[in-house]
Order: sequence, then C-alpha cells, then structure tokens
Amino acid sequence: MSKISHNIQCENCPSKESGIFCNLERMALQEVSQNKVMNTYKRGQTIFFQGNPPFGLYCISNGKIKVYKTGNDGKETILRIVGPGDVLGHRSLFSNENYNATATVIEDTQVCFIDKNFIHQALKKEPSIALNLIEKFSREMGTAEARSASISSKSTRERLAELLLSFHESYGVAEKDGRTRLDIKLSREEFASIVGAAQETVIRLFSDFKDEGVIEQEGKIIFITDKEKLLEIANLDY
Amino acid sequence: MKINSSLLTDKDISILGQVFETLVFPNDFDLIYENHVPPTGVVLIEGKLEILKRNKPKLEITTLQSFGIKELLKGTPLPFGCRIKANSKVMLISKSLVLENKLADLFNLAT
Repeated sequence: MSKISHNIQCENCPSKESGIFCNLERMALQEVSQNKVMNTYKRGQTIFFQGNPPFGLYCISNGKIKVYKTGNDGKETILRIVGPGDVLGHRSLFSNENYNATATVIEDTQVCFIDKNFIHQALKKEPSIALNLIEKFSREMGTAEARSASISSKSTRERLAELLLSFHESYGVAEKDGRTRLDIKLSREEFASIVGAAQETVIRLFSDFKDEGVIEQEGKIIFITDKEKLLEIANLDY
Repeated sequence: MKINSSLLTDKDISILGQVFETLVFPNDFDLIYENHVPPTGVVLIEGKLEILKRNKPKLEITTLQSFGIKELLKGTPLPFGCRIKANSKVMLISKSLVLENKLADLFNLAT
C-alpha cells in the first residue's frame, strides 16, 4: 500500500499553462499546492454527482472526463468532455446550486481538488485567477450556444462532422502517414449522446464517413483522413 | 480494519460548526475512493457513511465520528473508500480552513 503523497506541485503540472493558476507567481503557486489534493481517478469513477452539493473546485491535470445530465427516464445526455487545464464544478460552486450534472472519468485522469474556502480566498487575493475563470466560463458559454444553435439548425450528419472536427482540434495527434488520430475513446452511444441522435443513426453515419474516405477506424481509435471534406460536411468555417 | 477517526462531542460540533460547512447529500456519493487522498475530512451528523473495501461496504461510521482528517492534512491515501448514503448530513472539514484556523489540535493531529 502506497503511503506517499500523491501531490504533484502546481509548478510541475503538465497543464499549468492552460489552467486557471497559470499567471501566478511561484510563491502563490506553492500555496495552491499546499492546499490542493491530487488523486488519480480510474475510468468509470465519479468526481461529482448530479443533485449533490458542491464543496470545491476540480482542476484537470491530465486525462478526460465526461459531464452529463441524467433525465427522469435515466437517459444520459453528455454536455461536454473536459480535459487537461479545464476546471470542473465551478458553475455550481459559484452559483451556490447543487450540481446539475455528473462528472465521470472516461480514461485514467489526474484531478486536483481545491476546497471552496481556499478558492474564494485565492480569488480575492489574485485577480488573474478570476480573469482566467471568466475566460473559461465565456468559452464554455460560447460552446454551449454554438451547440444549441447546431442542434436546432443542423442535420445529425453535420453535427457529427462538427464534433469530429472539435475533437480534431482538442485531441488530434498528427500521425506520420498524414492522418490525424483522435486521442479520445468514446462508445457510439456516447457519440450519439453528444450529438443528440439515436445510436443507430450515429453508427450509420460513421459507416458513411468511412465509405467517403473522411475517417478510418482501428478498433475504437478514429483517424481523420480528410479534414477538408469533414469541414465541408460540417457546413462551417473553421 | 483500522481507521483513524475520533468521536466528537456535541460541544466540539458546536465549535466546528462556526467554521465548517454542513451539507446534505441527496444522492449516494463516493466521497473518497480507495487509495485516494481524501479531498475533505468528514464528520457524520445524520444518516449513513459506509467504509468500503474493493467497493464493498465493510463498516459504518457512527454519528459524530470524524474521518479522513489526518490523511487529508498529511496528504496520504486511505486504504479504503468512503460512501455517503443518500440524504445524509455531513460536516466537511476542509484542509484550508483547518490550516487557516490552526484547528489540527482539535482532531488530536500535529501537522
């Protein structure tokens, strides 16, 4: 049984540059390190649960988490996928509302927890943290607005292409053969949940994209082979 | 199974209540996973708190028992998990407030 501390200092965090504490001086970062708790969550473990009260903020060091709402019928709707440098739980924490969604890890993920008192004190002392949080809120709001518009005005084919492009941007890894590997593994059900379509529709569309030479698949790994065509299908200017 | 915990008195709870937040969890929640450093210490005020080993309940924390505070302050992982059962009321002992208010002694801990 390991008895050593799991804490990685914030200064050495791989996602420091994209996190909310990126502008802090060394001393202030050390203070954050002293007050945070870092843990590695395994795939399927839950960070917070819909309906429960928030008591702190979560910063993602590495890995990926899905944030989803469960309806009265038990159906999951994925709201977003978060990754390194992102924060979680901020909306409920600052609005003093219980969580309106659940956050579950989709691949082993290192997460730092910062308690409510510390984050409130830090925000008062360090305006840069507030500005970085506002930037994250604004981006999330922009993404939510775009998604809402997309659901009401675009076809499922266009929405799936749009999602693949956004994954290309966030999780794309250039391969030597010119393809881009998407470093994210989701089930067809999860893809369907994100684009707001039936699983069967998404399976058929994936098959169409493969036939059209837009994507390739090796097991659960998706490669984008023709980004231009995907842009055309998505019907947007990237 | 040995767990680090202290049984607090009503007087202790009254003092701690001036500093720490008490929350009701409407749904079951794995507050601490096995081999994780607790994100918070916890004192059960009402309801049920289960201690889990390999995801199976092994023990129950009793009312007014504190739990996970030493590990939180020392940054050491717990060899078992802790699940809050639905509608339980718990006082959450946050690390920053313990350090800020120098309350470690109250839990018989030296940081």
